Order: sequence, then structure tokens, then C-alpha cells
Amino acid sequence: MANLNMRNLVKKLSSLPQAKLSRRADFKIKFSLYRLMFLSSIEKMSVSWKMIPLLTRGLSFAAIILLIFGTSSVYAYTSDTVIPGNPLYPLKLAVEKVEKVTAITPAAQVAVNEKLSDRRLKEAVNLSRTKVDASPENSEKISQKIENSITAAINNHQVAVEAKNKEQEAKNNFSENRNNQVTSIYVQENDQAQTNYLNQIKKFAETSQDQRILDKVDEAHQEMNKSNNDYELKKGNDSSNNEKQNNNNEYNNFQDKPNRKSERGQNRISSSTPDLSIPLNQNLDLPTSLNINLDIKDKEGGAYKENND
Amino acid sequence: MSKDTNSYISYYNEFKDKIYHYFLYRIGLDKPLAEDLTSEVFIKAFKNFSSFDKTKKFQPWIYMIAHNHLVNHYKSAKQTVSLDDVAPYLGDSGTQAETRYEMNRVLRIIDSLPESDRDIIRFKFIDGLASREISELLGREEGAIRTQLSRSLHKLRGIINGNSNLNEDNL
Repeated sequence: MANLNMRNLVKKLSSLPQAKLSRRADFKIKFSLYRLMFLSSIEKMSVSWKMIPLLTRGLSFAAIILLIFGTSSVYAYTSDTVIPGNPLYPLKLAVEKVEKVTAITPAAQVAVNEKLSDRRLKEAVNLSRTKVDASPENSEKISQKIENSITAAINNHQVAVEAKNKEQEAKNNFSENRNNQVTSIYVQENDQAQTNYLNQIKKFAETSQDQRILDKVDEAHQEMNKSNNDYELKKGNDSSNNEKQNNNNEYNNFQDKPNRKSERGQNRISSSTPDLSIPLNQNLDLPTSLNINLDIKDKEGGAYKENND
Repeated sequence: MSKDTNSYISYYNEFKDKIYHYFLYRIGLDKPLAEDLTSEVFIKAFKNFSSFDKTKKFQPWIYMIAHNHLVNHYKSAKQTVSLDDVAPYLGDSGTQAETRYEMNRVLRIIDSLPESDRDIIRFKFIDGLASREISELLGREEGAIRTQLSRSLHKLRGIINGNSNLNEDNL
């Protein structure tokens, strides 16, 4: 012990090598700790989850799903950037399908189908934009999508025109309907917008020298014009028929009213009603005729009253 | 991960070597056993971390757990401390074989001291804790720790110089 005197005892003790935990042991301990932390957090979560009633849990889950689905649907439906190829595009089509089904009246069908036709053409314009920078392989695919969009737009337009025809028929049945007038204005504006979209697509197609799309645009122009012309023609025919029909109706009213009066007073009044039959091809001054009719009515009414008294 | 668990991991990183060192020099430099005890202490501490007063220092708390764990270990294993393999760990502090042998003897002597002297010398010289830290750990006044340390060193010196009643041959 001669070498280890007290002077250097403290020094020697203080300079004992500092032990260091090996990496392997450190890893093992850390792993155990993280495992424990994970298990304890799971335990806490499960306890708090169990505390929520089953119904509330179910409703919360449903609300989360609805929120996710709802926001995605709204975004997909409203955004013009959701074009064919986008993951949200099927969702957009599904919402549109629901919209189509819920459009019951002809006016609503016209509005929905024209809107969808418009939307397909917008998508075709956006697709044409993306096609500018696309590789040759993608370009072919995009062209196909543009064609499909234009075809869908034509179909929607034709459905809208059919609905317009129905609407026209309804208009003939009910001589005056403000909604029909509004729809007609809307459709005219929409036609203009669709023509603009088709022109835009045409410009892109000319730039990329895509003959397929150019042909498709021409086809769309022709189909849409044809549908519109057919509709206008039908509308013109219906209008003239309607005018005739109105004349007939007025005439029938004119003819029926004295007869009904005469029937009412038949047992009481012996005097015969005057013969007021007028040929159909003769120009009628309807207001005057009606006045005459009313005069007769008053006279007869008066006669009836007098007799009755 | 919560703030608590993050802070616990940072405490672990700070004290893992100190606790390992604490065990290593108290269980006869048995490395695998020291590692196991270190692991058990940190797991035990984590399980009781919610009871730890965050306004206080972590060091006294973890040393207290380590100390209690060591006591329990001795009780359950009734293990006798062997310092036979101490020499390889002292290579850095002494170049000569004789010095290493002397250090081995000193550690044996420390191990044979009464518990109060043994602990305070170990905390001071082996664990490298300051008097203030030892006072926090043992819950005593810093002045009392200094006095106790002086007395314990005097006792150690006496044993080393052969003036003690302790029989070194039995160590």
C-alpha cells in the first residue's frame, strides 16, 4: 500500500474509468421504453374510447365519413379542374347522375342537361390545354378523352332539346308560363357559351393539328345546330297550330256560352237564340264578338229575370 | 408522443450512463447484470414517472430508485460482491499492475465499510456527484455531507494504513 498514500487516494478514486452503457444495451432499454409508452398510450386511448357511448361513437364515425365524402363531392362537383383522369372525376359524375334523376320537370331537365353539356365542353377545353404539353403517348389518350367529352356534351344537348320539346308541348297546353320563358332565355345564353367552348377546342386542335378533334368539333356544331333547328321548326309549327287552336278555343267559347245560357233558360223562354255561327276561315274580331256575346247574355239574363219576376 | 414521454426519453439519455456506472461499481463490475439493473430501473422509473414532481431535479429521484432497486437486488439474490475482475476496468487509471492491484484492494475496502461511509464515498468518488447533489439524494444538509465524507475518508485512510479494526484479510 506504499504507493497508494492518501494524497493520491482521492485522485485515484476520482479517476476511475467512467462506465458507458453499451449500444446494444442502450437499444434494448430504449426499445422496452418505447414499447411501454406505446402500450400505455393505447391503454389510455381505449379507456377514453370506451367511455363514449356506442351510439355517439357510431354517429361520430358516420359524421367523419360524411364530412370526408361530402367535402370531396362538393369539391369534385364544383371544380372545373376535376377532369377525366382525375381520381375525383367518378365522384363528380355520380353527383351529376343524382342531379339528373332529381330533375323531374321539363324545365329542370333542360337546365340540368344544358349545364352538363356546358360542363363537358369546359372539361374538353381544359383537356385541350393539358394536351399542349403532353407526351405523344399521353396526347393520344387525352384526344380520346376530349372526343368522349364532346360526345357527352352533344348527348346532353340533345336530351335538353328533347326536354325543350316537352316543355313546348306543356307551353301549348298552358298558354302562359313564366318559367318557360326564363328557361328559353337560359338556353339561348347556354348555346352561345357552348359555341364559344367549341371554338376554343377548335383553336387548340388547330394548334396541335389534331384532325380527329377538328372533325369532332364540326360534328358537334352540326349536331347542336340540327337539334336547335329541329326545335325551332317544331316550335314554329306548334306556334301556328297553337294560334289556330287558340282561335278555335275562343270560337268554341264564343259558341258555347250562348248555348249554355239558352239551355238554362230553355224551359222558361220560348224565344230561340240567334244563329251566330261564323266560318273558321273568316277573320274574327274576337273582342267584339265577345262583347256581342256578353250583350246577348245580358239581354237573355234580363229577359229571364223579367220573366221570372 | 406526449410531452411527458419526450421529456422522459431526454432524461434517460442524460442519466443512462450514470446509472449504469452506479450499478457497475456496486455489483462487482458485472456488466450484463449492471445493464439489466439499469434497464429495470428506467422501466420502473417510467411506470412511476407520473408521481415525479417536475419542479424538482430528476437526478436524486432516479438515484433513489436505483439505490432501492440495488437493495432489493441484494436482498433477493443474496449476492456477494466480487471484485475479482476489477483489474481490466482499471486499465485507464493505472498503467502498472501494482497500481491496479492497489485500486482493487481499495475498492474492496470501500465495499467493506459501514453502509453510510460506503455510500457517501461511492457517490463522491465513483459516481462523481457533488456534495450538494449527494445532500439532495440523501436528503441531508450539504454541510453534514461534507463532514460525513471527511470522516469516511479518514476511516478509509485508517484501514489502508492498517490502523483500523477491520481485518483486510477477510475482505
